[in-house]
Amino acid sequence: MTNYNKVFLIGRLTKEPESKVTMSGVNLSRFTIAVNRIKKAGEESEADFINVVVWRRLAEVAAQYLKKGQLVAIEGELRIDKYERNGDEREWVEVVADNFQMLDRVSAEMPVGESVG
Amino acid sequence: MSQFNKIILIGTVSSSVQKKELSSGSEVSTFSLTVQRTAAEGAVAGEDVFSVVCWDSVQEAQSLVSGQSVLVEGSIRNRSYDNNGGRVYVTEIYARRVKPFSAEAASSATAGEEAVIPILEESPAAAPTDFNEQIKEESAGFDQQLETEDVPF
Repeated sequence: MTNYNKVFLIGRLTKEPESKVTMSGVNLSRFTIAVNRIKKAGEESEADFINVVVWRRLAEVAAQYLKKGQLVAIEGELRIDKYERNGDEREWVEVVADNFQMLDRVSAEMPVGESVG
Repeated sequence: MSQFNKIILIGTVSSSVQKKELSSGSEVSTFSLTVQRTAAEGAVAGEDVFSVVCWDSVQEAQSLVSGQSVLVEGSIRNRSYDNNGGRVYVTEIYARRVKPFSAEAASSATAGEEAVIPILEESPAAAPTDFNEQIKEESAGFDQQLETEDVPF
């Protein structure tokens, strides 16, 4: 049976990526991107906040170069993991990215949230 | 601003299609789509169950049945609602296109290809079956046109 799961997203990082190393020594990095919805005339702009995880070499790149506010293109697979907390069943939804590309640069000299003269 | 949200899924319909009429008068259909994960090295294979939302413009969704294999193209949407005082966050796929695959559809597609090939390669008269006779009649005009033209291959 054929199964296929592919996601393409372009959005902005809502915060700095969080990076860590698993117990088995594999790098991973997590961040959230805000993807604007297509806006009809007169509507307020809305966005979907989508969690992204990258592994291994991509995680190192993400930790080093991705900054809050940066525009990124992401290619990956959408996953919904179910878990239980305090008796409630919850879902953790994230895109496991196998590729990403920075579409603009938020350099160290231009911190996000500060106006540059 | 350049923003982009696209998802393509192929999986199995794992619920019946629920139809709901909105206060605006338009109708939405929702169903569950189960997609098996590809077992990457070291990863545990599993499955993801997505909830797919189709507006009434996606007519293919109306006739889906549980167990059917289907392609869904759309975008990822987040939404939240109140449930007994607690906020519930859900992620859904808003489908723009739904294309069902079924065993019947697959076999008829194969038959169609077999019927087309003899017409292109040789004269339909060489094929003796009634089915091909019928195609010959239907495509008679097409053949004549081909003969009068200088086909380069």
